[in-house]
Amino acid sequence: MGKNHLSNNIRRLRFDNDEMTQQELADKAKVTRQTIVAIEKGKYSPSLELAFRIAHVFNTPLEEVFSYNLEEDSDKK
Amino acid sequence: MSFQERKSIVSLISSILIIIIYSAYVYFTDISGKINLADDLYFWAKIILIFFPVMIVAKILIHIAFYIVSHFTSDEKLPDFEDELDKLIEMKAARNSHYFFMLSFIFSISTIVMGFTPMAMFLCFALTISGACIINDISQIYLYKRGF
Repeated sequence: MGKNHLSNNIRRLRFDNDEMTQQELADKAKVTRQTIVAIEKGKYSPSLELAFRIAHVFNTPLEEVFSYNLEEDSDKK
Repeated sequence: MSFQERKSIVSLISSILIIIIYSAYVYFTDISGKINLADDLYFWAKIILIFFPVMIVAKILIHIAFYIVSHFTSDEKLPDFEDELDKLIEMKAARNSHYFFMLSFIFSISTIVMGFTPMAMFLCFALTISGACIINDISQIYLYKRGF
C-alpha cells in the first residue's frame, strides 16, 4: 500500500473554531469519531465527498483543510 | 481503544468461543462412542448445516450484549451507523476472508480426490468456515489499528 501523501490541518482548524471536539466535527460531517481520528493522524484518506463536507463544516476552501504533497510523489519517479 | 476496535475484538473472541463450544458439544454428544462415522455423509452435513444458524444467532446475541454493556460502561458516544471508513474496512476484511474460503474450499474438495474419507472433507469444511470467520475479524482489527 502506498504512502499517504495527503496532509491536513484539521487539528488546527478545530482549535480555531472554538476548540471544536472530534465528536462535534464527526457529528457535523456525519461520520464516526474514529474516522475523524484516522484522518487527523493521516491514517486514512477520506473520499472527495467527505473532504468537502469537512471543509464545509469549517467554512473554508478544501485546499485549506487538505493538501497533497507533490514532491514526495515525484521523488518516486 | 475505539469502540470499533473493541467491537472487532469481541467479535473475534466470540467466534473462537462459539467454534470451541460447538465443537466440544458435537464431540461429546454426537461423536463420542460412535463408530463408522468416516463415511456418514448425512451426519457430517447435518453438523455443518446446524453450525451456520448457531454461529449467526450466537453472534447477534453477543453483539447485543456488547452494545448494552458498552452503553452503560463507556463515556464515549456509541456510533449508531456505519460510515465510509467502516464500510471500507468491512469490505477489505470480507475480501481477505473470501480468499481464504476459496482456497480452503478447493483444498477440502481435493481431500476426496487424494483418497481421504468424506469425514476428512467435512472436517476441512468446518476448518474453512471457522478460519474464514476468524480471518474476517483479525483483518478488521488490523485495519482499524493500522488505517489506510
